Amino acid sequence: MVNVSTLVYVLENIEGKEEELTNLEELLGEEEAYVKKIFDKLDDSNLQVSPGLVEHILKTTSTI
Amino acid sequence: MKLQQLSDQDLVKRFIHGDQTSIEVLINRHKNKVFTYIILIVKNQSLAEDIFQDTFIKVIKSLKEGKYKDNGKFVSWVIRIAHNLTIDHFRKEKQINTYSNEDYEADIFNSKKLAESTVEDIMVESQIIKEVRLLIDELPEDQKQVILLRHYGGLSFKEIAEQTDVSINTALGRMRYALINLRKLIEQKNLSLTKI
Repeated sequence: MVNVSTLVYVLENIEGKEEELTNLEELLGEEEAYVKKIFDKLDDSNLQVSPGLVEHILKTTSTI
Repeated sequence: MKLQQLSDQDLVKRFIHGDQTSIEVLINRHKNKVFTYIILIVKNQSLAEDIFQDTFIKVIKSLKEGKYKDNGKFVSWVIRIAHNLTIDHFRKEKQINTYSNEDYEADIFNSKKLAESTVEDIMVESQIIKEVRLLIDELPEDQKQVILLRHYGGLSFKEIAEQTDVSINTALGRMRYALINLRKLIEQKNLSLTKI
């Protein structure tokens, strides 16, 4: 015979797992809604390395 | 076929086999993404350029030493290196960065997306971008890291958990709180992210 508290524990955990899965879907949906828009804006800001830095890196590493 | 049309994977292979120009294409392809990732954390142009340089020197060294295991995620690997070097920097300095957002400048007037906009539109957009940078800046460091690693590195929550040395649940929790905070901040600031 199953102890009532064990049964409650098992049910709570099953519920917890389902909730976790739903939250992940929600999370990814919200990520798409907010984060993508935010970073699209940051992409517009055109943050760039100074001209010549890439050439400098290539020169520095050419003898490695 | 032009080098620019090749995949990251093919360019890496060519570089490992001695084609020096392949790495130049790879760096130019991903430089803005990697640089933006670094500068959003360190918030200083000169420091971000130092870390950017160290990142690609390490990338090139590792490729030449055969330490890169290609799993088709070259940029994720580069972002992880940038992340580690950024963390190392702050460990050495023994302080969280003290720079303000004014220590680096956006070059919005040269943004391709805004090429045909009026000066007024660009000024409005510039203000929105400043606010957006502040949004990211207002997030706690651990939440900011998860968001940046997801967006710029394309890392899964499992990979973020490994990278930041926490459990997957913690990484998910940080993302969840980051989203809650961002939503709150966007509402508080009444920020429109769809303008122009």
